[in-house]
Amino acid sequence: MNIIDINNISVEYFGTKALEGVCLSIVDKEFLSIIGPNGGGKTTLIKTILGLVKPSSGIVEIKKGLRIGYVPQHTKFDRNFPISVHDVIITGRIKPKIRMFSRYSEEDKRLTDDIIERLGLETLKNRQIGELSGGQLQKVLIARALVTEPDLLILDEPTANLDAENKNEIYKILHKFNEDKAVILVTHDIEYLNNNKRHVVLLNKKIIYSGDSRRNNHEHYHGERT
Amino acid sequence: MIGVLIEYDFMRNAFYSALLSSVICGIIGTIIVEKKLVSMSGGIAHTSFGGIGLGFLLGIEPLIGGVGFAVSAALGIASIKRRTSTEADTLIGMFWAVGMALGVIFIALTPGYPPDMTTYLFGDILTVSSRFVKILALTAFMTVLLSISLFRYLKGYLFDEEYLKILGINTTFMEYLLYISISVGIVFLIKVVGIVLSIAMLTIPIATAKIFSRDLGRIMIYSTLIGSITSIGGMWFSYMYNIPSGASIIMVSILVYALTYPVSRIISKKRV
Repeated sequence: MNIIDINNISVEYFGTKALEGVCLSIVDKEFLSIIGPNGGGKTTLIKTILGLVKPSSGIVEIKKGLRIGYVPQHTKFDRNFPISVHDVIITGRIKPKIRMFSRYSEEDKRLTDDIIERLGLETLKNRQIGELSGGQLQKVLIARALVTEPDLLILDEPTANLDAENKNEIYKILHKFNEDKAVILVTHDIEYLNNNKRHVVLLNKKIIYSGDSRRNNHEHYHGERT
Repeated sequence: MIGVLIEYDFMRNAFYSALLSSVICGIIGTIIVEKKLVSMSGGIAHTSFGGIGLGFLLGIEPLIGGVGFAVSAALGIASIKRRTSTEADTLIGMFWAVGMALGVIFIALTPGYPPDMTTYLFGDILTVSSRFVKILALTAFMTVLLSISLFRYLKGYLFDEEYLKILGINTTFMEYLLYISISVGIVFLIKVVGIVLSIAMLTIPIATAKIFSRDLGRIMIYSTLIGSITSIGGMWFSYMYNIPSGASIIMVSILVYALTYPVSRIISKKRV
């Protein structure tokens, strides 16, 4: 069953085309990897799914009630911002409706503590984010997404600038999550894709290639092949 | 000093405005420093000069015109940045200069003797009226109330506004609320330290507070305290040696910052 249907989406930024006629479906419990050159529209595509970017044409259909957890790239953050690991993670539980003097519920706190324990972040809980390594911060951002109890996790290059050990730890978390839920992973890590056969999309403004290497039923778009 | 405070109304008003503006600076300053809006705030302060000039031309309270211009500048920069590809930095520069130019033109057009603009450019805490102290008290109260009651939203917004948007929070509302609070805060600060020097009040106490803490709430409280001490100290120097208050407040705050940094380094080294 499809949880997301992207129908012929185009996105323009001030006259420059970022995406052109992209069609893509995401099936429940699948692990979709998106690769492509820088400036190829990978981040734009996931921002369109998240509703942060409005497509100039086409629509994104999302299954009703689908909860999406988003993990931005750890490198885009100002590491000097004064906030603790715990406070970053519990932000995932903030209520959409702005109310004065609202508080986090006991359940919010319990869920946050659960995730912190599951990802092994207990010792870092009260640290400021500026004291973390890149891999640790990336894990904190994953925790913030997981605390929303998502059905789909979208990650933007979570392993960028990380060493092998940290990469493996992140992948382990994703594989565990993928046991019963869906993942969309934007990545440059070709080595990982070679070792893990699954649905891969190559994006450069259009979908250049889409194939599921597990089933070996490659589909080619626009007659191009890479 | 206490004798002078009890004896003279103008000293009492100056004392209260120093305390109240330190509260505003502590909170608003921390927000603009952490959200990297320092140059934006400089732009807002200078654009408000146009409104002050307009106030003189129309014969209304100049600060009302100032608030109008400051709020429009903040919202204008934000919305133009969203709709066009012009960089915020460039827009800030344009608003900054145009605001000042309009101010100069409006004042030139004002009939009669030209008003003395030094008070607005460099501030004069010793001429603050008791009516202004009340307005300042209301602004400080609103700033404290909003920042405490919406603290977790504020913190989330400052750290990662995109994420809050994904969670379904109305970040446009947050942005407007923030920009309006910053603009109003800055304009009332003009009366105390002036347009040119306001940015110092919004950054120096915060930079000093950040030597001591890396917690958002604490930085706000510490910079309020540090700001209170330095602005009252500066005001005192201004009274004693008859030097302009805005400049003396800023010199005291930068002195405190310059002394705090090495002292804190020595203390933290001893601890290790």
